[in-house]
Amino acid sequence: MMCFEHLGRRYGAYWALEDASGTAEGGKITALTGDNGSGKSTLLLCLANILKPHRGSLQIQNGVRVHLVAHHPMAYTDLSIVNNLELSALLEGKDKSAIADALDYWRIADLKEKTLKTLSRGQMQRFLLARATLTKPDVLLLDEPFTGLDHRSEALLQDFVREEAARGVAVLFSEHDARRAKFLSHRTIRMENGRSRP
Amino acid sequence: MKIWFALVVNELRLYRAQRGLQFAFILALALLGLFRFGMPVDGGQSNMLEVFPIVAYLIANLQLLLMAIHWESDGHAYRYYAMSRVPMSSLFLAKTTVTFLAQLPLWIFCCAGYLLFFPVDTPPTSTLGAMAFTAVPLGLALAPAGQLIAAIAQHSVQRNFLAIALFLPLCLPVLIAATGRLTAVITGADSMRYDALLIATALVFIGAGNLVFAYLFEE
Repeated sequence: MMCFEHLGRRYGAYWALEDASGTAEGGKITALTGDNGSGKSTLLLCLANILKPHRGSLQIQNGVRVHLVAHHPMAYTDLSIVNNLELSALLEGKDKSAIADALDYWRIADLKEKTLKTLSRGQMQRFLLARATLTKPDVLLLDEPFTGLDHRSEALLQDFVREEAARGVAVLFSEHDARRAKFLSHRTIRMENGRSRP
Repeated sequence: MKIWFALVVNELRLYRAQRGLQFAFILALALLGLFRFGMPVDGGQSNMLEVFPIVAYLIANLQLLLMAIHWESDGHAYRYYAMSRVPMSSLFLAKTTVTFLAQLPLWIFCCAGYLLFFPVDTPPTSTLGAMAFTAVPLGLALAPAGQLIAAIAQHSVQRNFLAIALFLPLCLPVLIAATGRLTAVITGADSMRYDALLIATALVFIGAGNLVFAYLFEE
């Protein structure tokens, strides 16, 4: 579904991502591990078409939809959860029942009228996961998705990741906890100083 | 068209949610009051007075500009469009459309303030209509200019300052043409050349916005 080779991205003169290669295959869960600052988030932003890589190549099959759950909400913080989801639904051609399903799945139906700027970290993360559930991408990218979640939501997220993979989605998630990365994924890409080590 | 409509609905929600629009009206009112009562105005020099509602309107537009910058950058909302491969020209047109709609009552407000505060005779209804209609070419020129500048300033650390610094000089042709149009309307002269200048300015900004909006948001 997605293949990237020797991707590099710099901020000014600093190369945050130097040389990353790999693939994202349908039905497979890939963990992206590495220390803070190793280039995981930059790689995911490049794969999601948010940052343009300064070198290397990124190939995505035609019609494949990519969705990233990132640290930044990439949403309107002055609007409510439901307003943001309605925008996504309109842009992605989903109906209102899909919004209700996503809200119910992530247990945020009672928070749907709250504006994003009033949400806690965990609630925000659940909103972002609800949006990912709503959009039903072919490639799902998750940047340290367990951050801020309570135990119940963590278990829900693990089930969600496995269900998405079972549905044929290529899942790529970054995780600094090597034990959890190994437990949840089919394979691992390790990032060190902006370089990938398969 | 469907995407454009979704984005327009979203922009309208943002205007309603951010509650910043009233500050544009307060700013316009304060400026009109300042111009009228804070500086000597000779009631006979009507061709000098028409510049005041235009200047108040342009400066009040800065509030709309700053709102546009903040609601995109606060949550990195524009990144969602890049990820979803939403055409940025659709976003530009949607933002321009909603800003244009928001500017219409602001202009009516500035005209009303001008007629109430300044020592001018109340014009006939047809002239009032023509004065109000100035909102259309004026808004068409200013709305895309504001969105373009907001996008340019987006990634700057000093984005508010940069937006203001770019907006005021870019508004100069709009200020000249709009003042000329308003004077022509009030005195019963032909306003065609000023309309042409405003429409030409609008076309330049709309064209430029369509071409470079995606590039300006790119990281």
